[in-house]
Amino acid sequence: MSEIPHETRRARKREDIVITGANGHTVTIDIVDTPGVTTKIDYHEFLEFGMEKDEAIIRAREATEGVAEAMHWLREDIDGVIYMLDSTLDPFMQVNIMMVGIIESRNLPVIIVANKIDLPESAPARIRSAFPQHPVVAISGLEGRNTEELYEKMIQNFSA
Amino acid sequence: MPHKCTKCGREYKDGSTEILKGCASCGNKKFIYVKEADINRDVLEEKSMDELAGETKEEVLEVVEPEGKKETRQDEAPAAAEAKGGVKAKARKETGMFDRVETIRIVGPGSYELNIDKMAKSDERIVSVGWRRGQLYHRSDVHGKGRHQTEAVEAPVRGFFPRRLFFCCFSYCRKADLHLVTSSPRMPSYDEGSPSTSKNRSVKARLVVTAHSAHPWPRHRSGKKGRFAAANGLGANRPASWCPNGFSLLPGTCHAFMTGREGESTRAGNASGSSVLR
Repeated sequence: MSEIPHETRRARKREDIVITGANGHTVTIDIVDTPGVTTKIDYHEFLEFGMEKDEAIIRAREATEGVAEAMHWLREDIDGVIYMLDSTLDPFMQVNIMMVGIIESRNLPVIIVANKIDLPESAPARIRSAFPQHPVVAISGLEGRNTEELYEKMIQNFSA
Repeated sequence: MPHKCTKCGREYKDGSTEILKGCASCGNKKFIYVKEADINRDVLEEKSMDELAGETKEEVLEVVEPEGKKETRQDEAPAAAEAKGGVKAKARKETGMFDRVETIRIVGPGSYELNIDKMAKSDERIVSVGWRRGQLYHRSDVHGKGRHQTEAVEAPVRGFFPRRLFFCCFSYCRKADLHLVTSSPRMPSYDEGSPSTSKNRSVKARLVVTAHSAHPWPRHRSGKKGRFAAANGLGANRPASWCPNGFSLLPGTCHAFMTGREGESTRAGNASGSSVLR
């Protein structure tokens, strides 16, 4: 896992993933991992990670294209959204409000994931407060903590 | 499931970006999430929003301005005071992100502002953005369906572009729509119709651009006013600020016209350097 933002700059798709819940119910999904959505991309933020200027500019461009691709996927025929948030950051940011609003306007079920709970400054409760209308699952992607609960929520929310 | 201002009780629908600017009525930046059932409780039960927040046990959310933005505004304040009558300061006032017409705004090489709301609502698919040879351009091959309203269609301009087409918009027009119709077989078909490009499939690519030219009258190397020397070499002599927005398409016979706000000046330039004016 990279420290540099916008590591994922192209959507990646995996098909026919079967998730079995504790009650025996299963859900088969195709999942698209899209790049992170943001409203501003500046190559300067990559320079702080020791990246060369040219490389950083290319990364910024690719990240911009990635956001466009992510938004494109949101318009496709999808059945649900897992919206991943960094629980160490303020959830009440314009991009989060907009994204949740966009998802709701499409009447799509959404699970909000509060990631990075392994970090001491994480505060998943703030995410729950910001979006009380949606299920919020606190996980650590790095340590794999609480991912079972996320799978259960996926079965509950995304089963037809 | 909306939010309400804790000061005046103004209601904002869920997902509204309006609250990010603060309450439109009182400027307050604190909001409370209220359930549908409780939406009118403050009025019906004559309670203050603070009391309601206490009862519903919902956390009061405060819109915090990003650090960078705060600093910028502070820096601008003294300059604004110096400006004659504050006119310059007013002109410099940023357009709100979500009031902008373009989906991607190129601030500079490697620096972009994205209007995700616009992206979500639009049927256009942005394939790529970019810059080349140190010169900035917006290579945004947008496959539009032409649903957007345009305010005024000006006279079409035509030209044959044997190689890569490069268009830039500049001039005083701050918001302009640039339409291209090309016969390039490599572009997807779109039955919008073009005046004379019938031998191949045609496409009407539509890109909404905003011109922010530091030099409203860029000069051609020859010194002729209004000439535009973009060229395929992308104008090595020109500073990038002359054409912060533009885009390129694949080769083909192209017809282009620009639309802008009525009364404003819009111009387009072609790759050959022979300026194509409205």
